[in-house]
Amino acid sequence: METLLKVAIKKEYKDILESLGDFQGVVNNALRRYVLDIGSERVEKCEIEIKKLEGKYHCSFKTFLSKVGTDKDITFLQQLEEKYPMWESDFNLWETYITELNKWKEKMSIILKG
Amino acid sequence: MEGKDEYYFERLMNLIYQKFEEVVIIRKDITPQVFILEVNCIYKSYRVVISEIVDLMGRKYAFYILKDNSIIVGFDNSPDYRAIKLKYEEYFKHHYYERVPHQHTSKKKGIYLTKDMRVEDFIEWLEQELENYLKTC
Repeated sequence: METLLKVAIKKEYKDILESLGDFQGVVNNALRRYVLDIGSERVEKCEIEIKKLEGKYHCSFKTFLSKVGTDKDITFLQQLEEKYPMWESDFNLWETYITELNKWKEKMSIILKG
Repeated sequence: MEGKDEYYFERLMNLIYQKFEEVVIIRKDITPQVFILEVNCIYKSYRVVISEIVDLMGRKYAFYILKDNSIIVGFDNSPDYRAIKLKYEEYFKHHYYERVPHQHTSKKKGIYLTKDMRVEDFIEWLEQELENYLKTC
């Protein structure tokens, strides 16, 4: 499916893009590569941050969340806070990077399929 | 996302530089989808940690005041089951994983529900409540 958008681009870019052949195809291809570039960078950043947190807390985010967000293991928070009293800050970060990673993977998968 | 961008960052940092000393930016990651800021600074003789994240899921925060590496007071909205229990009492199990704004007291020995806090609210609390709070510690 295609949508018609009006976007201003520099004249020199327009001239170069037109010289490369099918203008529409070139623009689509350039946008695809741009999104994949940005996406790959963010995926890498998210994965690095997530790995650091998994290493620090010796578990996955899912396990961590199930232990702080429920009363299924009431000793966990007590022990956690002795070692990491500011865990909430890490938790927020961890959740954010997991969410962002999943969003980017989803976006990239759509683009790669298209 | 509620417009958290470089402009918001500048505004927030101006406020932080104005109110605190020895300000150090520990983490800054700003994209159109995510705003992440973590700052360490000093307020009077206390170490302060300010952590604010805004993403597509909403706003997440954790603010701490420390003395000699021990928490004097902390505010956050993590889904800590103890805060969920305080808010929903016997129905808390239906609200597992829900974010609940709350306050931790000295050495995290007590926990109270609070309103949602922004950096500005935290600074206001510091300026207006810290002195009285310290008397109760």
